[in-house]
Amino acid sequence: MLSLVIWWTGLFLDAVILFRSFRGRSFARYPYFYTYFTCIVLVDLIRYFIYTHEPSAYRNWYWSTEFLSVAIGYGVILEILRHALARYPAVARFGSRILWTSFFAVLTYIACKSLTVTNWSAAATGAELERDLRTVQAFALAGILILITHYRIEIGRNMKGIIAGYGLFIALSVMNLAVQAHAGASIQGVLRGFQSYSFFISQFVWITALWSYQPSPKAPAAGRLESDYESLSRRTKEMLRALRERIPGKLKE
Amino acid sequence: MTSLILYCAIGAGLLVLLSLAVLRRPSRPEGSAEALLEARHALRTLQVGLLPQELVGRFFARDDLEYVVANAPKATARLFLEERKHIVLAWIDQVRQQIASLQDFHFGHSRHFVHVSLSSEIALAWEFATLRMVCRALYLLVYFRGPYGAQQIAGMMVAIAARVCILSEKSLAFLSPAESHALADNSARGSAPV
Repeated sequence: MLSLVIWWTGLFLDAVILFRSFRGRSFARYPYFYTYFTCIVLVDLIRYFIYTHEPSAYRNWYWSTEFLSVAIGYGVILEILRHALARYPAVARFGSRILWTSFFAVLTYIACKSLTVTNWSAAATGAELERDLRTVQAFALAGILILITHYRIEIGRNMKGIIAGYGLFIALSVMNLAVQAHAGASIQGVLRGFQSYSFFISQFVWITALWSYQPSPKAPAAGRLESDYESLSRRTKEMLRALRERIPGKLKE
Repeated sequence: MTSLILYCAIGAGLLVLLSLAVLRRPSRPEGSAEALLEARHALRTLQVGLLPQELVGRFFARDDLEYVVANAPKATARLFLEERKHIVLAWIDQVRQQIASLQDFHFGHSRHFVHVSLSSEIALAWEFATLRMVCRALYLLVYFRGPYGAQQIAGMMVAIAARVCILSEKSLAFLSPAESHALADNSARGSAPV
């Protein structure tokens, strides 16, 4: 019952977030994020339909759609790269390297897994596979967060929200899926519910941060020394004044 | 069980990084003349004022201590040790501050430049991190063991700081705008290169 309440509330929040994105015209500003979000809403609706009409098929559907959401989740990381690091060419270059490396790591991992696992079943190996894919995403996101922290990059309220919401979801998913893979099929149903709860938390973060459009603050370009001439001259005058006060009579105006 | 702990640690690590990235203090405006001047001042203070061999050698030389111990009462020797400890701690603190200033400048500016290489950035970040760690360790050692308890680490700190200064000097030349003399024309009359 609680799961259904969370589900309906989640769908309501999805609708509010999408409504606000059109009203505040932020859909066009963050297209990758909102495309991801729209896909997630559609996946949720399909899941709900299957859950209520064909419960026996739900498990297989769940894992296939879950892999789709993992794949399109890269759009969110791309959006973070595009907006947070775009103004800093060096950092953006490092960030895109991280993104592509992690993306190829995922492709290689899936290729290796499909070659080595003979008895392939999405539902059976689902938790383990998704855990690993989410872990690669966690590494990619961690790399970008390290860049943002290390280079002290200014990020606006919207971007902070996107990063916090998605990061929270990924971190909680990795932990939850690790427990699922460890515990086996016995409590997978219960733990899958936790996955929805973690997404529910992210929805709250997104709805708060993305209520209205607020771009990332601009950093002044490097190398414009002339623009600071006035502040330098003011500072020098202040220092001279302080010096005069300390050595009265020695320095004349 | 090990894999469970490992994945939970990865998740927790991501949460820590998230909180660091979202809740950190805002950066000061970069690209300012003030930042460049501060960095140049920090570099000069380190190279001329804080890291010369003679100065560092004097801080840790045992001659003074031996002289005081041989010629003065015990209370004076104790006072001497106490004073020397304060001087060394103040010196480490100054080095730490100037290094932090250089680091701020470098990473605040390099982010704007396209031709910064990832390997050199990682190397420099590593040098800065090592130096700050060594500074901290030296501070603690001097604080608890006195001024003559960590001469080797002090030597190590000076060596790393000197390396960082050389790298920073290069980056200051690279990251700051071209000097006006770079445009000076050295060509003969009527044969100016275009």
